[in-house]
Amino acid sequence: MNDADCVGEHRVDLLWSRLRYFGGTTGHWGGNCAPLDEQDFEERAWVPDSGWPFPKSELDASYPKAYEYCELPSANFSADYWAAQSASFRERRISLAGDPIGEKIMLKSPPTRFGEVYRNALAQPGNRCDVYLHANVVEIETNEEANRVTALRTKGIDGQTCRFRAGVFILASGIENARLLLLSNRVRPRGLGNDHDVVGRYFMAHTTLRTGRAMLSLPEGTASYYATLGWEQRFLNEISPFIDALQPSRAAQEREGILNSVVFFEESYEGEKTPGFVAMRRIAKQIVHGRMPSNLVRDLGIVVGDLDEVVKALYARSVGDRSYKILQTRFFCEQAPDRDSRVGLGDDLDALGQRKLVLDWRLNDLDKRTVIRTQKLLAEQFGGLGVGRLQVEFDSETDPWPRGVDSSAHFMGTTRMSTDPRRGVVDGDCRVHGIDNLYVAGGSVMPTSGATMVTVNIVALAVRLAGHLRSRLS
Amino acid sequence: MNRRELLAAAAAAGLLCGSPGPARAATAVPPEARRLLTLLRSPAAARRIGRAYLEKAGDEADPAKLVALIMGEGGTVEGDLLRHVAERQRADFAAGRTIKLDGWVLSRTEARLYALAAV
Repeated sequence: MNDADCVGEHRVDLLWSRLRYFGGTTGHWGGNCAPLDEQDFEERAWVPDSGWPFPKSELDASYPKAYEYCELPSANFSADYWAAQSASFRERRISLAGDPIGEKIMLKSPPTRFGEVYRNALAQPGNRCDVYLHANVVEIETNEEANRVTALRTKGIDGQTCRFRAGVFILASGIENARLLLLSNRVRPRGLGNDHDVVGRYFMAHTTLRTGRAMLSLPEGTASYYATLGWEQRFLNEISPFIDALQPSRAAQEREGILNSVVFFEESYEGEKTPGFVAMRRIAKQIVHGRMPSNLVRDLGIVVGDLDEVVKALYARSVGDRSYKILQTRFFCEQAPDRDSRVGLGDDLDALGQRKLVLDWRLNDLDKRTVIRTQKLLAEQFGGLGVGRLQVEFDSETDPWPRGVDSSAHFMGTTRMSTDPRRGVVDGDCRVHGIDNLYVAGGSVMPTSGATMVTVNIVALAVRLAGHLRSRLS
Repeated sequence: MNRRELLAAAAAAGLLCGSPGPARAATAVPPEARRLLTLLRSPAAARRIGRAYLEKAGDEADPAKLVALIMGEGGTVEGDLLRHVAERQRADFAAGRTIKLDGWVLSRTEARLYALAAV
């Protein structure tokens, strides 16, 4: 039921990246957490359709509870604080000027698998929450005026249907929120909350790209503090539950006219990113998982055609030859809000007879400029500090996107928040414009995506919504 | 130009870390150029990068011109030459005076130093 079609240049795997079970995608979440930045909430002249209905200070009150739910070891996101805690980090911390490049600390959740961690509490006798599993919502039913929801109609795989009635309804299923609103077209042919054709639009992810590499004159082990991969090894040896990402300052973003972004390092050996080595990994991975490799002949051909690089990488890995070690730069960027980047309904039907999603994920010139200029800022900062040099691969805004642009499976937008119904699906309280008792929670309401991991921010938004509903219902 | 060549040249020039190595200056260059070339511990690697630079900036293929551009105003330095070059290089990065050679983002000053080894 999660399967969907992708059209357009950039594809994502919507089947693999979403989990349709209790606890949702926290089931395979990596656990990195950091709050959004202040500028993410601001209307930035150089970022069309930017700006939230409220400033970050309003969400700040909800973060402590969100950190608690995500089981964070601390609420301190200051790099100076963590340098004081960890001698190892202190010795390896890259001494940045702050402008144009500063730091953004991300803290590590265990990660919290919400379905496992909170299942028992919800099952306790006397709990005011009833959980129904396998009740797939297939329609939001409303009154004749479509300004009040009356019930949710659900359907199981066995075909059994139910109707759930309540005073207030909250949709909380990522980009499926938009699908449900579009599918619920009995009263409004274009779907609920869609009088201005905004439902499904402004789909965003985090533009993620491994491109370029760094040659740094830094102590061994430095990269592990700046990498999302392999940090667990470091955590086993010392108490340092954080990652220090490199981030263009707010002022640099404005000067360069770019989106928010952060950069990580990934340590690997020369040759590991070549098509031959990647094909060999693909074959090995499938064999390890007990599957017959798909496209075996094609992949073997790629390995043979790239044999010298494959052998070099294997040799370097096996003997740990540091002269072949490289630091790849991984860019993780806010995506520009774009009305044409969207989800809609296709003609194919899922197992419940519902029209499947079709995704048209679009990246625009501002997204491209952000990667390229951030790269330049980083190169100049490292050079200026005498820290090292950067080799860039993708350096022209007129070039097409290189292969390997990824979404990090962070799907946002499609029921975005705005005080203006022509620009957003929900208002500042996350209530669907024009419908009195229908709310939306999750990343789908975010008007901009920031350059941070999504989960803890979604939880903070849910805490804020809970506060609003508590006061409304009391 | 590969990573190891750049590493050799940059480290040798003391521009990433370390200190100047023993003098191995070329003979047919002006006195200031000789001093600059003493900063290089791996002239072979520097020459390869320098040639790549000169392909883009052929009008600078002249030792005297390169020395003037590397040293800046006055053309000579009495004190610590390495520090002077490193400061010029930092200023280049701060001002965006960089050049990409095989994708590597280098300061104009360091690229010219390598070019000096190549002319």
